[in-house]
Amino acid sequence: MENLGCKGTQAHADCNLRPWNGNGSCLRGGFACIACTEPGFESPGHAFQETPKLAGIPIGLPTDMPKAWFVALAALSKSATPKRVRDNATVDQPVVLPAIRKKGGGK
Amino acid sequence: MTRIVVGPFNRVEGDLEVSLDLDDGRVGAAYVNSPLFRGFEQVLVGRPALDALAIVPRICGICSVAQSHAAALALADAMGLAPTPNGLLSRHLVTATENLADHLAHFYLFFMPDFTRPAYAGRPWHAGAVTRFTAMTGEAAAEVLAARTGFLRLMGLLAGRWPHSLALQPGGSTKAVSAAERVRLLSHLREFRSVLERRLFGDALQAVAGLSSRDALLAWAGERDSDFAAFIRMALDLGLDRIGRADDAFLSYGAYGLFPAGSWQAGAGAELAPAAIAEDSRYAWLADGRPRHPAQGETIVAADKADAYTWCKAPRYGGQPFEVGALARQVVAGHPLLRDLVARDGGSVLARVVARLLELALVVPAMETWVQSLQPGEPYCTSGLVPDEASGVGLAEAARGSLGHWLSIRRGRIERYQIIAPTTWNFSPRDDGGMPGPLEAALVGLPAGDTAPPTIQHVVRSFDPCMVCTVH
Repeated sequence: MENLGCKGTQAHADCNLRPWNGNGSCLRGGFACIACTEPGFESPGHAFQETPKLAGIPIGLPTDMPKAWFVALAALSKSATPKRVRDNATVDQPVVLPAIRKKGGGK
Repeated sequence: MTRIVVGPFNRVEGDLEVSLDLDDGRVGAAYVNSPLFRGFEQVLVGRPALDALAIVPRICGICSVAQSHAAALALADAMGLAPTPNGLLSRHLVTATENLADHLAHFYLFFMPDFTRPAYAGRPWHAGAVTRFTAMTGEAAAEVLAARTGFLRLMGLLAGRWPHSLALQPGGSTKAVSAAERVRLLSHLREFRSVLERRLFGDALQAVAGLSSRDALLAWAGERDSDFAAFIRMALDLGLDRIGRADDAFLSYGAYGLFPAGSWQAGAGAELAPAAIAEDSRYAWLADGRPRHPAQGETIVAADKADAYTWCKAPRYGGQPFEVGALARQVVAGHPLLRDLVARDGGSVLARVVARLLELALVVPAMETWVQSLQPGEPYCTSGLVPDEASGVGLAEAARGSLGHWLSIRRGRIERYQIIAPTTWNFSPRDDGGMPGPLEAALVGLPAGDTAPPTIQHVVRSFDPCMVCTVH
């Protein structure tokens, strides 16, 4: 979703805490937030469904995160992303489900 | 001859004004004015092509999904994409939810309150209508709003929210429905069906859908205790089955894979020929020009133009005005009851309202089968690239009728975007040849003025106008 222009971490709104009609929100519907509660949302300066990036890192910051932390964590989390999350992120429903990791003995 | 202006109309979406030339208390000529200009077609020009999906739903708060559906179809056409089977079913479900919720709201909240007007105080049914249908306080409104809210949970599940969803994409739908969600969808549908069967129809949906002629409808309504039957009795008492006739030319782009596209005129149907569509701006506050096909259409404001009286263009099909909506959809699709009503008395107020309610009875069972056909685990969406140069057409059916989007893309951006909304067809002004639009024709000859009964109100509202889409 972060690749598809999602502004969910930047919008000042409670859409995901107080769902639409009791059971819906943009993210639950599977599509990106365009921050439609923010003044000027209609002209974001980029295509709605694309995330502007610099050197592979999104230029928009989550509302409550210092920039240096964001850059460091973005790089760290990218390299630490498990295969399950990476594969599931590019399809419309989970293809790799969390599994119990086998322990010991190699049985 | 005197001229009166009726408007602004309450209980319609957007701004509407109708000027009537009166001869002896009857309408000699009607001029329909859409007094608000909005300019969405201009807003879209120059934007990245896929931005249309975020912009066009905001044309309207009540048929936003229909706009987004038409845009997704136009983009899919330009990108050469076809939706996945799940995506197609999801699209059917989302558009049907919006259309049916609109039909229900129109009947109970917009149309029926006219029967409670003091002008009808002497009628035997008036007291009952007041109790049940008075705007804001009638007992039906409370029941129906609750049912509609429950029904719209489908929208929350399938489209995230309503209005202004981005769920409908050129390649299908963004929401992958899980097996558990499928069960919830079905249970919401069953609850909605039970309200329709108990209060609106007083009978099984299949029985209503199977009514095949005017006589069968009247026999069915008889003394039945239901809102639909009560409407039939009131409408016959007021002669609404014989007024509100336009040109009896009907057009439909086809919906849900259930109702085919085509046109119907003078008792004969024909295949849809999108090339025959053109828009004329002779009486709109827009720069003149020969009538153009929307793929070459232009919207250039000329606010001081003499003779012009509306912001709405005049769409024509083969040079003629055509009526669109639930009635047109069902007449084109060949439903025997509506074909019979139209054959006897033309496209009347009664026929338009019956067609909407009949769609509720026809489409809810279809929605149940679509939900059951969703395959959890299978893809809901395919993706593709927007070509640098392309053009596309999206023809969809909204609750109020045929909605078309025509776009062309140049260097990846929107070069031209033209929209013809359903109410643009129905509330069209005169064209270059002076031929009035469907509502303008339907109002001629009706009583109007301070002492006249509210006949004009019934006729205008029978089209279920959505003015904000008209003027996009």
